[in-house]
Amino acid sequence: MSDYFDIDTFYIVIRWVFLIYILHITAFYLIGSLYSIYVNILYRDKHDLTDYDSIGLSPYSPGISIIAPAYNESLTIVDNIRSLLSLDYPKKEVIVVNDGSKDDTIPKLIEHFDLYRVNIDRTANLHSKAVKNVYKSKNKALGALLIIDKENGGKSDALNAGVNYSNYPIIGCMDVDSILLKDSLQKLVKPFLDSTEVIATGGAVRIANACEIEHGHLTNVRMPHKWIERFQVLEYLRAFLVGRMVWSAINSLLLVSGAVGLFKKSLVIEVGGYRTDVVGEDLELVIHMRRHMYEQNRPHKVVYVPDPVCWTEAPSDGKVLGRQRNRWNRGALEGLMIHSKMLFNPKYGRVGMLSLPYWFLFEWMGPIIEGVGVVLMLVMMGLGYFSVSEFLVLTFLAYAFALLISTITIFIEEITFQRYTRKMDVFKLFLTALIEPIFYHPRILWWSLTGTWDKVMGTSKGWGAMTRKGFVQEKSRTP
Amino acid sequence: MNALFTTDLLAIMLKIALLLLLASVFGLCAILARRVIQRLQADLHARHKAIFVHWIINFVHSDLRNEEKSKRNYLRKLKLFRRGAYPRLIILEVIHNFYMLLSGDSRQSLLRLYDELGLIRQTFRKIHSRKLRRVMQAIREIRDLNLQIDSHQYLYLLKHPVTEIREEAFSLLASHIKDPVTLLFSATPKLTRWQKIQFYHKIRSVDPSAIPDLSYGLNHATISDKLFLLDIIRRKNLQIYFIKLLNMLRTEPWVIQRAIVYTLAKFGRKEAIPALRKLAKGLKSPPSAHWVNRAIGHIRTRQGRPKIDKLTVFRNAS
Repeated sequence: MSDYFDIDTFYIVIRWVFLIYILHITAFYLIGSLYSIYVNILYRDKHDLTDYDSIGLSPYSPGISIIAPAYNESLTIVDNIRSLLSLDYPKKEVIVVNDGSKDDTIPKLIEHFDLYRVNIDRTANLHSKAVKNVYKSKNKALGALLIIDKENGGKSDALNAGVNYSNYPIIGCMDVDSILLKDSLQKLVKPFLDSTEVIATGGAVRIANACEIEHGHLTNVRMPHKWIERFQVLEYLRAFLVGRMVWSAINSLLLVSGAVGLFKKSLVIEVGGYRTDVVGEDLELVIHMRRHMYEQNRPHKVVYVPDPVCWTEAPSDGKVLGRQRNRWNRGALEGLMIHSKMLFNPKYGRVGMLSLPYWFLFEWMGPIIEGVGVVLMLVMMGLGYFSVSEFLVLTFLAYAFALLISTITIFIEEITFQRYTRKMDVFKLFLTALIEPIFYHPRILWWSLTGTWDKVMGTSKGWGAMTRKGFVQEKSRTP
Repeated sequence: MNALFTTDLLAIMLKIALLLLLASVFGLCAILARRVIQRLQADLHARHKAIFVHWIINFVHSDLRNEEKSKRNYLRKLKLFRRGAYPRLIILEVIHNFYMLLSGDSRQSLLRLYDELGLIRQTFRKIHSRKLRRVMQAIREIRDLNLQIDSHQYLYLLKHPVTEIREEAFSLLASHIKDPVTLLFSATPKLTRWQKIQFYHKIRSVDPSAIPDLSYGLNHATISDKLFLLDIIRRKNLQIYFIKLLNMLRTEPWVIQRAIVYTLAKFGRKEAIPALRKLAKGLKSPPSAHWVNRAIGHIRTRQGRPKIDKLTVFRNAS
C-alpha cells in the first residue's frame, strides 16, 4: 500500500495545491477591492452631476416594459404595483404576471384597479404555460398597467409570459416585492442611451429590513436589528460595491440580479427567453445572451449601475436563508454546467477566460475547497503534520483578511452613496464585519455545500418556499 | 514530519495579519473621523454662508446706489476670503443662488461682483482642469450664469474624452452658442442617444424664437437625427422651415418623407397640398399613398376649421 500511497508526498502535494489556491483567491480579492475603490470614485464623480431628470422628462427616452411576476402576493401586491406605476419614467408599462397564485391576488387586483378582460396580441412567442386571462384597467390613468393571469410555471415561466405581451424595446425584470427608488429606471436605462452595444444593465440591491417604507416608497434607511439580517447587509454591500463593480468595469459581468435588471428585448427573444428548467434563471440568461453575442461576433456590454436603486427584504431566519443560499449555489452550478463549453475557451473572450473560470474556481469550488481544507487541516493536525500554532496563525490571517475586505467595502459605501447616515450604523456595520467570519461564514459555507450536494445527487426541490415578513410601515403622524 | 511553515514564516504571517487588523481598525476610525469632519464643515459652512450673504447683499445695494466706498469695502472683504478654497466655494454657491433669484440690474451687479472677484476667469480656466468635477462645475457655472463661451472652448468640451463632460456640454447648446446645430453636427457626427436626449431636451425647453437654426442638421444629419429635428419642428410649430420641408419631400427617403408629411399636416397650410398630391401619385405602395392622402384631408379640415369657429362665435354672440 505504501508503495502506491505515500502520506508525506500526499501532504506535500496537498499543501501546495491549497497554498496556490489561497494565494490566488487572496490576490484576486485584494486587487478587486482596491480596483473597486477607483471605479466607484470614478462613477461617483461622473454621475454626481448627471441630469437624470432629462431622461425622465424626455419623449425620446426608449420605452421600458417592467415585468413583475407575482405568486401569492395578495397582501402587498396593490401597494407594490402603485409603487411601480409611480416610477419617474415617461414611457413605461407595468406588466404584472400572476403565476397561478392560490390566494386572492387576482380578485383583489380586479377590485382595486377596476380591471376588465382584454384580447391583446402577443409581440413574442417565448415558451410559457397557458395564459388564462389578460386584464387592463378601465381607469385611463392606469393605461400603463397590464395584468396577466396564467397557470403556475415558476418565475422564469412568468417572465417569459410577460415578455410575450411587452411592447417596448427594453424589458425590466423585477421582483414585485422589491422597492424601486423613483429614479431607478432613469439610472438603469442611461447605459442603453450611452451605447448601442449595451444588452443588459443591473442595479445594486440593498437590504430593506428595518428600513421605513411609506406606500411602497423608502423613507428612512436603517440597519436591521437582527444579526442575521446585518450579516446580509454587509454581504450585499461587498457583492454589489466590490464584486459586480469590478466585473462591470472590465466588461465581464455575468450576473444581473433577478430583483432588478433591464434587458434588450430583441436579444432576450433571440436566445429564447428565460430557461424554465433552472433555478438560477437570471445568471443563465445573461451567460446565454453573452454566449450568443460572442458566437455571432457582435460587440456587447453588460453594465452594472452601483446606485442602490432596489431595496429588498432579506430572509430573517436561518432556515429560509439556508434555502435561498442552497438555491443560489444550485443556480450557479446549473449555469456553469449548461455553458461549460465557454469555460477556458478563448473564443468567448474575457467571459470564457476570466469570469466563468472565476465562477467555477472561486464561487462554486470555493466552498468545497474551503470545507475540504478545514477538514484536512484538522486531520493533519491530528496526525501531527500541522501544528496548533500554524492552524491559529492561518485562521487569524484569513480572519484579518476578511475583515480588511469588509472594511474596504464600508469605506467605499461611505465615500460614494453613504446611505447609512447615522454614525451608529457605521459602527454596527463594522461590528458585523468583526463577527461575520466567525458566526456567519461557516453557515454560508455549509448551505453552499448542501446546495452542491443536492444538485449532484439530484435531490434539489426547485425554489423552496420563501416566507417574508413584509416591510416596516412608517406610522402616520397626527398633527 | 516537516512542518508546513517555518517559525520565521509564521512570525511574518502573524505580523501581516496584525497589520491587516490594524488597517481595518484604522479604516473604521477614518470613516468615523470623516463623519465628524463633515458635521463640523457643515456648521462652518452655515456660518460662512450667513456672513457672505450679508456682504454680497450689501455689495449689490452699494453698487445699485453707486456708493463706491461701501462697495469697495465689501469687495475687499470678499476678495480676502476668496483666496481660501473652501470659502471660495461658498461664495460661488451664494452668488449662484442669488443669481437665480434676482433679475435686471441686481443680476448684472452680481455678475460684476463675480467678475471683480476673478471668478469668471477661473470658471473658464476650470474647463481645462484634469479633475472631472471641476470641469463639470465650470460647465454648470457657465450655464447658470449665462456666460458666453467661445466656440474653440466649446469644441474642446464637445470632444472631451470623458462622455459625461461631453454630455454636460450639450446642455450649453441651446442658449450659449451661436449656430449650435452646425457646430454640433460638424463636430460630433455620431451622437449617442443620451446626447440627443440632452440636446433636444434643451432645445425643446426654450422659446420657439430662441431655437437655433436647424438647417444644417436637416441637410447633413443622419436619418435618425433628422427625425429628431423634424420632431422639434413639428412640436414647436416652426413654420419657417415650411419651404425647406417641401423641398426635402422630393429628395429624402420614405422614412423622412413620412415625418415631413406628418409635420406638414400639423402645419395645416394648404400650399403643401400640391406637393403632397405629387408625392402620393409617385408612391408605389398603396398604404403609403393612403397615408399621404389622409394628411391632405387633415390639412383641408384644418383649413375649414376657422369657418366653423366663426359660426360658433356668431351663435354665442347672438
